[in-house]
Formats: sequence, structure tokens, C-alpha cells
Amino acid sequence: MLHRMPCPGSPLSRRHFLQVGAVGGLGLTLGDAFRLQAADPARKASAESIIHIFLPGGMAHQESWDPKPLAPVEYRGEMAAISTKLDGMQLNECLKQTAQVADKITVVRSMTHGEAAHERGVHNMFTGYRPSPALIFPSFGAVVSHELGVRNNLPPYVAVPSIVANDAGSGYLSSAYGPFSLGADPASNGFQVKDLTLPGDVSPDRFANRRQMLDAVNEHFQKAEKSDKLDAMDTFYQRAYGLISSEKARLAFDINKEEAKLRDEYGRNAAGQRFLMARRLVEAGVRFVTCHFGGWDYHNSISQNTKRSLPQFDQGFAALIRDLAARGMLEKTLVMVSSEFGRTPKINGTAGRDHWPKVFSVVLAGGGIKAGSVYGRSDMTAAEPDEDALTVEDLAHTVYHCLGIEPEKKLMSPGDRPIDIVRNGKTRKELLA
Amino acid sequence: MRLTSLMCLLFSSTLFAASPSVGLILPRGGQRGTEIELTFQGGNLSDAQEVLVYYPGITVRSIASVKPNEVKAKVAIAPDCRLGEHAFRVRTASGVSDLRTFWVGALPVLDEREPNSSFETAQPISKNVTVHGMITNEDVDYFVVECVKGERLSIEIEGMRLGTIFFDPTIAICNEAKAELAVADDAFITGQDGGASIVVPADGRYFVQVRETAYGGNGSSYYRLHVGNFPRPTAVIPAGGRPGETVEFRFLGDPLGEIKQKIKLPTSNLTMVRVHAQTDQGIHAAGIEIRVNDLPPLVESANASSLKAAAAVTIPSAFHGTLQAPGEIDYVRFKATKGQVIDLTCYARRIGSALDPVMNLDLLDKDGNPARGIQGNDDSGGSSDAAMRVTIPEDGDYALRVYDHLRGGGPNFFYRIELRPPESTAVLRVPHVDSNNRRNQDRQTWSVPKGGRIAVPMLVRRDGWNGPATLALDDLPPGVTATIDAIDFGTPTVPVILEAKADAAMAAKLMRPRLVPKEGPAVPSPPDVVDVELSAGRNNTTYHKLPTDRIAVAVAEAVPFRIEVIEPKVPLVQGGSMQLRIVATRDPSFKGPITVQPVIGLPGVGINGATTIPENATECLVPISAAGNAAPRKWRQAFSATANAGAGNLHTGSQLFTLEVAPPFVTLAQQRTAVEQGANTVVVCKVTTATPFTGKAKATLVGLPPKVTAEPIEFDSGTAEIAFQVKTDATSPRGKHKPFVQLEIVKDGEIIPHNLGGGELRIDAPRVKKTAAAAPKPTTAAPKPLSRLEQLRQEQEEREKAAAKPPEPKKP
Repeated sequence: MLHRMPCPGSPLSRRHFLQVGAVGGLGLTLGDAFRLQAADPARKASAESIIHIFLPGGMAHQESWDPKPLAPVEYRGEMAAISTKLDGMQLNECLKQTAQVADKITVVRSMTHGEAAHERGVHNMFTGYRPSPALIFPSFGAVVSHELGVRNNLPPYVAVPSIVANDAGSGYLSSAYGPFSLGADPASNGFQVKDLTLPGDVSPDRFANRRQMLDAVNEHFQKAEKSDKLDAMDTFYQRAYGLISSEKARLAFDINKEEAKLRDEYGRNAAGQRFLMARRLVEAGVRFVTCHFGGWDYHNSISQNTKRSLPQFDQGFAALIRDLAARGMLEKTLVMVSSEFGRTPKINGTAGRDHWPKVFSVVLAGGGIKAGSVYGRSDMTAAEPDEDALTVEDLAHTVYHCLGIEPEKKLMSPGDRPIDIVRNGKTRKELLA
Repeated sequence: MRLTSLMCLLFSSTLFAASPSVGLILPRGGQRGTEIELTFQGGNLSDAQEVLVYYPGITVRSIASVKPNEVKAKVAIAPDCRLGEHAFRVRTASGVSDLRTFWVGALPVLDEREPNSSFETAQPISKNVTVHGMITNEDVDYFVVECVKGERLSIEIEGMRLGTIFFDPTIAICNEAKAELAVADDAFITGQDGGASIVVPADGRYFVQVRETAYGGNGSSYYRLHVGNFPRPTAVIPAGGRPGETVEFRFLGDPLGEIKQKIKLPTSNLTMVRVHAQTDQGIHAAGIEIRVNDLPPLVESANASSLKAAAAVTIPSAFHGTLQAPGEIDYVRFKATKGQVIDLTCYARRIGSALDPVMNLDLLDKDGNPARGIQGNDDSGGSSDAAMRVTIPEDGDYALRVYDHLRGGGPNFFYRIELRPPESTAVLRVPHVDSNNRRNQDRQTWSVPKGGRIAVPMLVRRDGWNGPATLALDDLPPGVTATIDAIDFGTPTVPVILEAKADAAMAAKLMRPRLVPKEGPAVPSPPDVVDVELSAGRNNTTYHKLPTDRIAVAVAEAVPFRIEVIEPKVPLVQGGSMQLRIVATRDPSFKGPITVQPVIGLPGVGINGATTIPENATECLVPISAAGNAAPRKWRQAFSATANAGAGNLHTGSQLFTLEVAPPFVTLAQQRTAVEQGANTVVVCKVTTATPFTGKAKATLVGLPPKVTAEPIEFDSGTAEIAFQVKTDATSPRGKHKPFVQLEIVKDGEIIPHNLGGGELRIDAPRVKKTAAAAPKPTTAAPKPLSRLEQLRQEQEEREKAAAKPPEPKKP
């Protein structure tokens, strides 16, 4: 009884038909995506979109945003600190280009949570909640998707190039609010978002035929039963068809349409091209883009590894900030750089650093965030917050505040249990412009 | 072809060969009394010169390097060669490879032949053979053997113990009806490798099945399966003896019954020896490990499970027994005097017993009944076996209770308990360089370049004694000398410098280091100087390792760079820092970067882990700092240097040098200060001079926020107070800041940097000046809106007031 026989009829299910390729690893069909359009984005917001750059593995705050050049060598590590455009703010020696846009960003050096395991750290930083065995929480992107809905016929939440962990998914919300994954790296040659084109063996005529067949089925249902849901479903399908056949949508996902010079400025590498893709999507109307870059779990040889990875990030991130500012988009686009946790104050026996969630750094820019500031402070050895410790709840509260989402609003989880978008958080006014 | 050879020659002349590696020896084992060809697979083996053999019984006849990653060696295994695991390394011109193992058995070896993955295609074998095979993913190998009723059919496998990869085999004996007669996954005497024996119930064909426990396996999952009539006991009594003594052992647990056998124990320095039961039908492949030392051995009498009747032993001695039945408790009685210190150590799980022992020591009253418990232990030292050091509280009779943790018992619950005064021992260990992967054998051998030197670390620990000692490295290759300082008590790791003469012959020795106390009796040489871990499972859990008491030391070809540490003339002060200068000399042919690393860690002293001397450069500065509470003393330290000169990493080392940690010359008490934005202030520091200095000390206030400045100050020895003039401007960041003082004192032309003081500097907003015009006007605050509850209360109060009002007097 448990093993249901597959339907012996057409292998092309109604759901599969709409997916046209593989829209999203989490089962988000375009039809689902457009159901979000009904949301009301009328709330006043300082940020219209958000680019969340996530650095998996736990980036060392000492070797990035919070160097401690005056600390003893076993704490400060081997890498040097450089001055930035912002008086008094120093960054790691590899963040040369970011140093030149320091007046446009806010570095938070007092981020803190208590989860030293990768998956738990990721959960905190993607959802604003501690992991719970009782409930899977939705990620920031899914909440944005749920609250703000579709804009310009584009999916509201896009992962570039893919989701880094299930915590970036829709949690207790419908999978409809999960991210639309590009499924390919924009840095690779021949990059193409497959989901937006018809499968190779489906010609436009065949697609039209299928659509007519589906319309016939839908018509039958509509005659048999009058329901708002059915009407709405029809609308979603119409919008999905619109996106699939929309030249504009395809352009949003086509990074090759960017000028070669700009692509070079971002850096022809994973970081640069992902960040550029994020900018392009946000410009087209995507509300929340999450992109991840690198693996920062440097238990060994942290200096050499940082020297290998951080310059790529630096180039791409600085270019993103400059590009957003030049296009006048920075004011309305919140850029958030975060990681799972920081790394241990002392260099370990294998010249690396281990997991350390007690204090680390995140960076915020644009979208209503103060430009050119350092918020919070870690102590002399970057071991604990010294001032203005920022919790994940407060970070989430502040981000939602900027996006015009009411953080205290309750969303309905399974079992009709209302759950706050952010529990016990508050917006840090000092972070706001 | 000729051109290629010529190019190779030209190319190799500019490349320096690098550390060789060996990952696998094939075949994984052989039969004693035969000659076979071994293939050593690895890397950088083209200049192989020698195969180093760890244990007697195997002779290398010839060696040939056939490919850069392969060496072939013909070896002869003596007919009396010890059964079990043997170890080899390959020495090349540039160094010595990893240690890899090879297994010696008594039975002829034949190869597994696929297809044999079903009963129907089972590979026919004769009895008393060893099958050399491999399990690939989801593979099951079947073998079929003809047996006659009443004979013993034993199977035993070497899989995990081969140390090739994590491979946990399961084996079974099935009859022709495909029913399992015996199945073995793990066994106490062989760990993850199982074994089983049956008495054959009827003439016929019997199947032996081999698979990975979870149906895994891959191209490295080798096994050696022994199939035959050999005995396979699971316990031995006594589980120990004295070196050189001939002991009659009782082997228990074999399906054909007990086997009695006299075995002469070796006189080597080994404390653990395997004894193999042997009958006309064959010899047990795995054997059972027992303890060999000088303690007088006693074997349990029939009365040991009764407290009253238990035999009294004297100390020192070793007691051997078995918990025959579930719930059984054995007792060992002894007399002891107040203050006597006794080590009570049980050997059970460690030697292949099923017993997880728990020991409790009770003081007995004059009637021989337990008066009170003294001490107990279940597990100790990372093992399931119990061990404890007892200080006897009063003169009297004592009884040691031994039982299984889960109150189990049976013929294979055998044990040996050693009762002895504490023994002085030493631990010497070549540390692993990669603590995240303990199977990594990098830097576990010492290759000394001709005309050069290496600097290597050695972990040292004493147990049962203290005081200074020296490290004796007796059996170095000719032309190699060692420099080691006397080792103080409490030094966890010491640097060892080995130098080779320029004309030293290329050779290697397996050298057994010893720790020699300056005073007092000698301590036994430690058994696990090099801890070779071979098979690891999830979370890097080790499943098979082969600790060895010998370090491979070799003279290797010269390397094209040398380093020297410029010994600092001044001390590193507590809380201070310094830059250590390291100078390299290079052969003209070598220009690449050189990485220098401290050889040992020093408590309380932070030294940059790896500093690079850039390409073509000849020196670097290594930052060092001392914690505020670092012990003031002189340390001996050295640096190792690594560079890639073409084909891999080459190593050399510095000389030993002295690094002194001293208290700071001066201390500062920095006063708390507050200033308004835009105003100036003075940060005052009281100076206490502990060590007078000549010249000027230069003090700089650092850690100031932006837009705040303070000029450095110079002062003389004996100055009582210094004051920094601190300037702020209107935009200086408000809040609490924590500046401190960096102080530089020059001595003997070298700078001694101090980090001192530390205190709060608070920057406030300027106070608003009160002016008459700005005098606040009294404002009438808007009434606060009342909550619903407050409204109700107010209404109630009004009602109550109205009710309480006395009624108006009636008008007359």
C-alpha cells in the first residue's frame, strides 16, 4: 500500500509541465513563484532589494574585517593591516580595493552568537533564529519572498549560483518561497540559466500545444467548480508563461550582456561574476539575491589560504559597491556580507584558526545603512565583543526594518502556530543612515 | 627515446629529489620460508637505494627502481620468521619513505579469482591456504572447500589490520544449503577483523564468504583470508610471563578443546608478545598478545572467586585469572603498609580478552571481611582496562575485587593484573606534523643532508620520576652527530639538531632513542617513539596503528640552502615582543622561497608559525611575543626550513639558540582620563623601573581612536612619571577607548619592545553652556493617556468617593 504505482499515463505531469526544465532545486515552479505577487509591498522601506553575500565555512574576522595589528603575534597572525578611506578603520592587507570604498560601507565588528558548528552557524546567519529541533525556520530570502512578492515578473528570491545549505530555503513556509537557483556558475564559460529556456526537444510549437492542452484541462475544472484558487492558479500559469517567453527576463539572467570591461572590473572569477550577476538581477527587479563564495574553513595555513581567496572577494565586492553607487542603486540596495562564525583568537598548531562564534564581523552597505562607519568593537585579541554586541536577532530585525518588513509580524507555521519573523530582536538605530 | 633520456638527465641535474613516499606494499603478505617480490608503490622513488626492514626474519635480496613511483624488492622470509605484521621503509638519495606493513603467514598464498561473487561461482580452494584478495563496492567473495566430518575448519581474516584503508570485513562459513554455520565480524583478539572455527558436522563442501560489513569496499580493500584446520583459541592462561622463560600456556576457546603448549618467551625489550597456539593441524595465524616483564607470575587458583579463600599475593607480582561465569567476582588479597604506593594495572581488553574489567580495592577487617572501600577504577588511559595508583592508608590486609563492567563472564574473560610499586618510565615521541590527519607520516623520519643539518622536535614525558635527563641517540648513521641540551623537568618538547659530515656515506639506521636520567636508575626505552597510524575511520578514529620504538635516521644528499638564526642579545620581556632575524645562505642554483618554522612551541611565547624568506632574499624577521605571565627563563629553540627545489619539499634546520624571557625593565600605571571632544588632556603614567637601563626609553601611546593624537615621549631610567599630551578634535569619536603604551629600550644595540600600561581614555561630547536665553521654559506636559485599566480604576475611585461623601444635611 505504501508503494503507489506511478501513473501509467503521460509522463508529463501537470506540475512537471510547468517546471519547463528544473526551476529551482527546492521544487519552486514558476507558477508557485507568481502566487507571491499578491503580497502587498506598500510598507515604507529604505531598501528595495538585498544582495546577501555569504562566505561559507566561517571567515576569520582577524584576517578580514577586524585585524588586530597591536595584538601579540599568536593572536594577530601573520597578515598585515592596511588603512582605508575611512579614518581609523583598518582592514586586512588583501582588502585593498574594499579599503577604497570603506566610506560607503558599515563594518560590524561585534557580531556574536553561540553556535560553533557549521550547520548551526549557517542556520543562525540565514534565518535569525537558533536552530530548533521542533521547527525549520525560513531564511531571510524566503521571508522577503513571502512578504514582498514578485516584482517585474522575476522570482523574488534567487540563489547565485545555488543554495549553499538547506537553511537558505523556505523553512516552515511553502516551498514556493524558496530560492530560484541558477544552477550554473556565472563565472563559467557558456553560463546559461537553463530554467528559462525550453528543453532542447521542446519546440515553441510543441510548447504552445502543451499549453493548449493544459488550458483545456483547466477549463474543465473551472466549469466543474467555481473557486478563487483555480482562478488564481490560472493567473500564475499565465505569468509563468510570460516569464518563460519573456525576452526581458532572459536578459536579466544573461550575464554576457554586461560590458566586458565591467566584467573585468568585477574580476573574471567566481566571486566577481557572482556579485555582478547579483547586481544584474537586483537591477532587473529580483528582491533578494543570495550568493556564496569560497570555503573559509581554514583550520590550516590561514594566511596562505586567505591570500588565495580574499583578493577575489575584495575585487568583486569593491566593484559591486562602486557599480551600485555609480548606478544610483546603492541607496535602495542593501548589501550584506556574512559568514557562519568567526575564528579562534589564537593561531592553532597547524597555522590556522578554528571555529569561534563569540565575536566576528559582518558588513552592511546601502539600503538605508549608515555609510562609512564601524559599529561595535571586539576586544584586544578579537575574542569577545567589547562594545555593542550584535545578536543575530538584532541583525535580522535591522535588515527587515530596512526592507520595510514588520519584524514582529507573525507568520503561520504548520499546525497553525504563529511564529514571529524575528523573535526578541530590535533594530539597531545606530546602524541606520 | 635517446633524446628523452638525455632530457631526463639534464632535467634531473637541476632538480633536487625530495622526500620519497610509499603508500602501499603489494602483495599485502606472504608465506614464511619463501622468497617473493614486493612492489612498493608511492612517489619520488626513482633514486631508491635501500629497503629498511624493522623486524628480524626478512632479508632483502635485491632492489630495483622501475618507475618514479615504484620500487621492486626481492625478499626472503625465513622459515622461523615471526608471524604477523612486519614493517618496511624505502630509503632514497633524498630521504626515507613512510612506514608500510607486510604480513607474514604460515600458509601458502593464492590469489582470489573473480568471478566468485555467488555460491554458484565460488572459487574452489584447498584447505590450509591464505587467499589474497580484494573487496570492491558491494562485492561478496565466495570460496568453496571440501571438508570431512569431525575436523576443525577455521577461518580468520586480515583486513583492517593490513592498514591499507578503512576496511571492516565480515566472514562466514556456510554449508551447501547456504545456511550460515559461523559468522564473524569483529573479534576481541583481532579487532575489526573476525575469525571463526567450527567442527565440521558432515562430509561435504563448505563455503567461506567474505564481504565488507556494510557492503562497501574499493580498489584498496585488500584482505588475506586464512582457511584451514589450524587451531583458533580465544583465550590464554597465563596471559604473561617473564622474558626468556619457558611457560606452559593453556589455550582456551578452540572448538576441539583446550590446547596446552610450552613456549619460550623472547628476551627482547618488548613488553607485548604474541603467542600462537600450534598443533599438528597448523598454527593460529593471529595469536594472542600477552605481557612479558619481570614480575613473578601467579595463576588463579580455584578459590579466587571467594574472598575468604582467595590466595594472598606479594607485591610485586602478576596475577592471571579468568571470570568463568557471568556475575563472577575474583579476589586478589595482599598485605600492605601505610604510605606504600602500589600501581594496580589490569590487562584484559588490550590483550584480546572479552573482559571489560572493573577493580575495587577494599581494606579487610581482622575477620577478613571488607571494612571499607579504598579506591576503584573502570577505565583508564583511554582503554577499557582498569588501572589505579593507590597510596595505602593504613597497615593491613587488602582485597582487590575484579569483575566485568556488565557482570559478564566466560572462558574468554581472561585477565592479568600487575601489582607493583610505581615504575619510572619515559615517553619519547616524534610529533605528528598534521594533527588533523594523524595518518600523515610527514617528518616522522630524520633525513640529514650531507654537509648540512636538520632541527627536529622530540616530545618528552617522564612518569614516576623527575629531574634533569639527557636524550641518548646511540645508533646514528656514521658521520651524523646530534646536539641536544640537557632536558629540564617540565619541558614538554625539545629541539634536536642532527648534522651530517659532507663526506658521510648515504646510509640509514633504525635508531632507538633513550631518555637517560642524570641521577637514579635507568628507565626502559619507550615502545612508541614513532606512532604510525594506518587505518582511520570516521572522525579520524584510528582503527589500526603500528607504534615503533625506532626512528629512521638517514644521510641524504645535500640541499641547496642553509639557515642560521641570529641569536638575540637582549631578552624578550613579559608582555613584550621582538623580531628574530633568520639568515639564509643559498647555493647559486637555488633562488626559491624558503619557509622557516619554530621547531618547538614554548609555553607563554608566541612565535609566528611560518615565515617566508622570499625568492632570492637571504633573510627574514620572525615576530615573537611573550604573554604577560610567560615564565621568566632561558629557552633553547631552533628553526626548521623548508623549500621546494624542484621535485618536492627539502628540509634543513638552524643551530640551537637561546631565547630568554625576562620581566619587563619598567612597568607603567596608566591613569584613567576623560576629555571632551575638541579639548586636550594629559594621560599620566607612573613609572616603576625594575631593571635600570642606559640611554633613553621611547614611549608611544598606541591604540588611540582616529582624530586623537599624542606625541611619543623619551625618558631616562629612574623617571617616576611620564605624561602624554593628548589632542582631540571636534570629530574625535566619543566613547571609551583603551590606549596602551609601547616602549622601546635599547640595549647592546638591540631594541627591547615592551607593551605596558593600558587604561581608559573617555571622550565625551562638549558640555552645553548654560545661557540665560537658553533657560528652559516650564512646559506643561500633555497629560499621559490612560490605559483602559487605569480608566476603570479612575471610574471606580470616583464612584467610591461619591459613595463615601456624607449625605447632605437635610434642610430643616
